[in-house]
Amino acid sequence: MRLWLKFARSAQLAYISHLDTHRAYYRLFRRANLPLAFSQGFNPHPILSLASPMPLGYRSEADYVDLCLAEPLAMSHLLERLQRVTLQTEFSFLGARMVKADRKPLAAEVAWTDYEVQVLGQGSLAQAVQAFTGAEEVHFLKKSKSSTKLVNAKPLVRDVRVEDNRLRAVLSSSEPVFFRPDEFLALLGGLSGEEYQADYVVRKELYLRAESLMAPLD
Amino acid sequence: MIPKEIERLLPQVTKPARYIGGEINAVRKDRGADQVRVALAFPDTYEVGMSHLGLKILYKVINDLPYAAAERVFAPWVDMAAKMNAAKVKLYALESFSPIDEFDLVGFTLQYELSYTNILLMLDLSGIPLLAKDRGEQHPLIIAGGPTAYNVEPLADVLDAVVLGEGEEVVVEIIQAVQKGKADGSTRKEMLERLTGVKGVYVPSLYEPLYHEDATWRGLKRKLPHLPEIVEKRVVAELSPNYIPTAPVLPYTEIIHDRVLLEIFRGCARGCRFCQAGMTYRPVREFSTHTLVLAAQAAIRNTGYEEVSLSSLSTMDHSGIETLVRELVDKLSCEGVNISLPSLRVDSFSVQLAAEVARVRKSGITLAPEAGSQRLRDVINKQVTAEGLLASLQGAKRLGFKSVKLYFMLGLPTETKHDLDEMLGLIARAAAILPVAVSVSSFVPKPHTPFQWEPQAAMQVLEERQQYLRERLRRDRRVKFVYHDASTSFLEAVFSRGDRRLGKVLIAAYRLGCKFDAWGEHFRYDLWMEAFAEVGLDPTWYANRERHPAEQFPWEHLSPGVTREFLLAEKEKAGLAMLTLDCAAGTCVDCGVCPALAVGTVTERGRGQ
Ligand code: SF4
Repeated sequence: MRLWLKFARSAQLAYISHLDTHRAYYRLFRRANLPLAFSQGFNPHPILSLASPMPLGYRSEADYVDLCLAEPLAMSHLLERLQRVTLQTEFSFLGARMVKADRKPLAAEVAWTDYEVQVLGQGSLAQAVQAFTGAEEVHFLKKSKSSTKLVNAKPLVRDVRVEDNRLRAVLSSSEPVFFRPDEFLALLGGLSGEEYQADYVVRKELYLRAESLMAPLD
Repeated sequence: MIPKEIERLLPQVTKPARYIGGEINAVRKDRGADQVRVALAFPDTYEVGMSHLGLKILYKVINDLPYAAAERVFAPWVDMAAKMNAAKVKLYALESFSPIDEFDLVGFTLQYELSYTNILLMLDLSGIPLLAKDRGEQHPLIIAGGPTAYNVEPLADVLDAVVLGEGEEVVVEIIQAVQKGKADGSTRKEMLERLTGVKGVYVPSLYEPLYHEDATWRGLKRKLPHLPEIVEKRVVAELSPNYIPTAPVLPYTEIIHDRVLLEIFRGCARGCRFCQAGMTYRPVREFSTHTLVLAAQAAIRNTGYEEVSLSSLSTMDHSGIETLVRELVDKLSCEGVNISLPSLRVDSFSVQLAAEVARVRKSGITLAPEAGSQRLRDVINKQVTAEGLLASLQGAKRLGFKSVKLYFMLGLPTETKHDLDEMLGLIARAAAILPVAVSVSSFVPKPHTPFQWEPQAAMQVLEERQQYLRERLRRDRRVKFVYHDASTSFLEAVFSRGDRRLGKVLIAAYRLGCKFDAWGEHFRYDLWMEAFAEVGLDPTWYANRERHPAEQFPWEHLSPGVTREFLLAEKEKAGLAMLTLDCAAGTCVDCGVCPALAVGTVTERGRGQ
């Protein structure tokens, strides 16, 4: 039985690494006594993956886990158990969906990420966003381990807006360009000639590779 | 929520998950007006402190009290400590993020001497004066307990009070005394005097040390008439299942022992003469198999861990070990839980049992013969023979183990080159059976052991002997050889039998920058020697001096219940290479603990009879 599960983590857990998060969910499922499926082989490990890794320090209100169970479990039991083990913890269980066993891993289907960025200081953020939306093309230098290349940011951004110094933007998080919110913020700074600093970043939602923005549990 | 000023530091330090709290099973209590707030402080990293069973037990015992709340605090790693200092962020507890100096009590675990500078570091980061005499009414009481409390004199100027022995009951009495004191509006001084009425509590500032002209210890002068002359340890007569921490705090970052630690009994009466724990934790008291199986199941349910490690001084000595292990495997293996046996006795039975539970056998087993020759093993009362060891290895090989780790100690009393040659011979015979990893530590004479009178071998001698072994083992491909730095063992030897004057050295060393001394990369022998020179004390006088049988010691007012007569008799038997049997097998050997503290050995087998 294959499942996609959605959780939120409190802001307190922004500084646990991807590996730590993975282990935390694994233990959560063990505490919930789910019949986890394990890989075959000499060193079996649970068939469990997180949808999208995040830089240390980002908060997440949308952690998705792609999980296989060894035997079917009634959805009502699943919901009840996950709610129980997240009670009085820094995790909240937000929902579950059954998916076909042969579907691609969730991580491979994620195309967009919705971020909220609390920006420090007052200023011209709204104008910068306006300038960005109005422009035909906005190029920035995308640095990776091996190269630096000029990339047009326009197709990498959907739905950008500012609400009291809080930037809300849906950014590309799939190949060929994974656009990080700090890169977007630097780009906006370039447009207004100011330097913006993020107080914190929250991942609000993930969207799948689809024409319209569709969350994994939709 | 993590306060902003703390959160800002997190991106700048390694392993920030050490500093965020919010773990599963962490207990966050609402604050009541008359609640006694206790910060359980472990003077090492999060990963080390979170692996410590004593801390888990006290956390549970205190948080089970409706009128008290325990929180945790660990030594921030050097990068975080520096950032906190620079940003003027005070050391805080992980449950509430309250600064440590707002607590009523701060309770340090005294696990090893080399963590003492970290106690100073943590006080300093909390804005609490390092010396007890400089603290005021607004400061918490600084209390400590743990294995090295049995000679706490080097910390006497730092600690307000010290607890001897097992904490489960005494911690409740201390909290009640503090609660009463708070209600009465007692001063700090009154509070400490009240604490002297709690059995097992030592308040060093109420005693003045006296020395002979040759600088040896003469004793303590009591400043108040009603103070106990000798503070006896606390011991829990019968271990209650309520003390087993079945819902330990579950860390996010990986800790040293990231598994369920199941204490299956307390104490060990094998009587190895170098071992302090073997003397101070007596008598042996076992949990029943029934209790342990239930506790293990609960702990697995509450943590999601995949491993239960049976942790006690000599795990295989539980009188019902075989049934216990079989039942644990029976009840837990279907949930994918592994049972591990960290300390193995050198015998075929142990190896057999270890093989049954080991999921992956290629990992290997660990055995500790401690000394190379039969004579020297008799001197230390380690009842192991070469034949027994080799037979165990043969068994291990047959059962599929791929390697063995052997632990030895260098510099044991009466050790000669001849003993080293025998050690080499034993290693060669072992290596003919299985590949061997040899790990050699240096003997540190400990207070309250039969070897408390013995000198530690000079550092140079220890180093020569390490090299002697290394050169002879180097060419043997089947043998891996590691040894511990002799200078850390030397410092440990100084502090483990130190007196109150060493407190000045400790402070001086901390001021010079010493911290995390147990971490090789931070241990600064040069700075320590500078500190000794500054204070004008000779460390070799403490470490390398042979004591006269009649000499009084600065730890004899702190009693684990084992008598000086027993220790002296054991010292003499050691000289004659005579053995003393384990009393848990049935015959009391008169160490003194049971009559002195009105307790007795409790074993599963005994219960069954
Ligand atoms: S008094 Fe006797 S029975 Fe009790 S611990 Fe000592 S030797 Fe063992």
